[in-house]
Amino acid sequence: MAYVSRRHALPRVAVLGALALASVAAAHHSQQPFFRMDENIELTGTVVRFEFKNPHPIIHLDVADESGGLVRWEIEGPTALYLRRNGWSADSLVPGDRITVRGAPPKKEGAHAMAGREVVKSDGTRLRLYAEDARRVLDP
Amino acid sequence: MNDAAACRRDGPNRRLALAAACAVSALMIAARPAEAQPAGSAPSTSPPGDAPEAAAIPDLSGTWFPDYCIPDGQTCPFDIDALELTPRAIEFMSSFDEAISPKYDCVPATIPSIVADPYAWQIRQRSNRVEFHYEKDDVVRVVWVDGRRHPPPGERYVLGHSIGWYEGDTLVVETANFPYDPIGLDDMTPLPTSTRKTVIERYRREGDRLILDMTVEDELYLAAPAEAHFEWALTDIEMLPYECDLETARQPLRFLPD
Repeated sequence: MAYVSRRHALPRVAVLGALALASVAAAHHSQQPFFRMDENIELTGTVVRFEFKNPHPIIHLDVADESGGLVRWEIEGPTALYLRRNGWSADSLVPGDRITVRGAPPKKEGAHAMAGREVVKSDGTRLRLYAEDARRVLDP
Repeated sequence: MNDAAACRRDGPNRRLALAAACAVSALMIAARPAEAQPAGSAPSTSPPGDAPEAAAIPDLSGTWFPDYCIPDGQTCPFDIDALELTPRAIEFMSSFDEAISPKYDCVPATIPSIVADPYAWQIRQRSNRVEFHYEKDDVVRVVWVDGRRHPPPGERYVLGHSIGWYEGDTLVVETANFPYDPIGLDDMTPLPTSTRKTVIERYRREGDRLILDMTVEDELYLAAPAEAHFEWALTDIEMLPYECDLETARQPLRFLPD
């Protein structure tokens, strides 16, 4: 499928409403300049690239929009160091993975970015980007 | 002329890229333990200038993981609402431009922010110094406990210059010689600090817990000292590298609202 940039087309986004995520928001308020941390949206798409680096790993995700084209989203996570200690690795996501990701939408109008909170893979595996307990590993 | 000399000679109005390089160079200087010091010096048990006292040195060594002031709804490292800020600080915060924050160029977090970050760190006690090795930003912070004083005011370091001494079961650390830092008090809120910032840390151990009481003073931005409390649990986890990636660090700036 040809990649079509439809900057102003709406992706297939599920708006999950404002959630009381005070604990998560307070802990990760470094993202507040860029994201609406009291809101949550959901995207489903295909992983194009997974950069597992510090200070912020980035999931590059192709998401189909309402017109059938693809929009490239960047899903930002906490530090790779933090994620590694919570069960993540550079191989946790690979190109071609079909995932659903939930997180905070961007403040900048038209930006295709998210502060990711949770990834759900096609096999049902849940990968939390922010654990309530910093030492907790992936859910079984 | 090396980077360090260039950093000392340049005035405060430097481009951010050079500031970042200078800060890293200064940090490397501060981290080098190979400075001249009195031969056979034992760790100091009193502030510089006071008569030394014979005392046992508390064992603070080990790898520590935060067990307080981590993701649980609290703001770290300070209760922002409880801080007594000067009008200058409030005005600064209201007009702060996120893009200028040095962290987007991989400049290491300073004290107290690096202390509050949710990562492991190690304490290594030597005869003339105590080394703090932080996972965050791969920082090695040296606390000189050989009785020396701070360098002249013209020498500035991102994490300041630290001297320390033992008071009974407590390691007292005094840090000064900071540069101006737009996020020097809190790199998240953000809160700035001036060249007048000084930090006193008091570390003690209770079993397998490390406890810190910290006081930050800065007469230009704080109307009253800022107090913070931290606790860590002894751990056997492996320290991991941070290795800040510059391109990744700058990535969020593309999504700053207009």
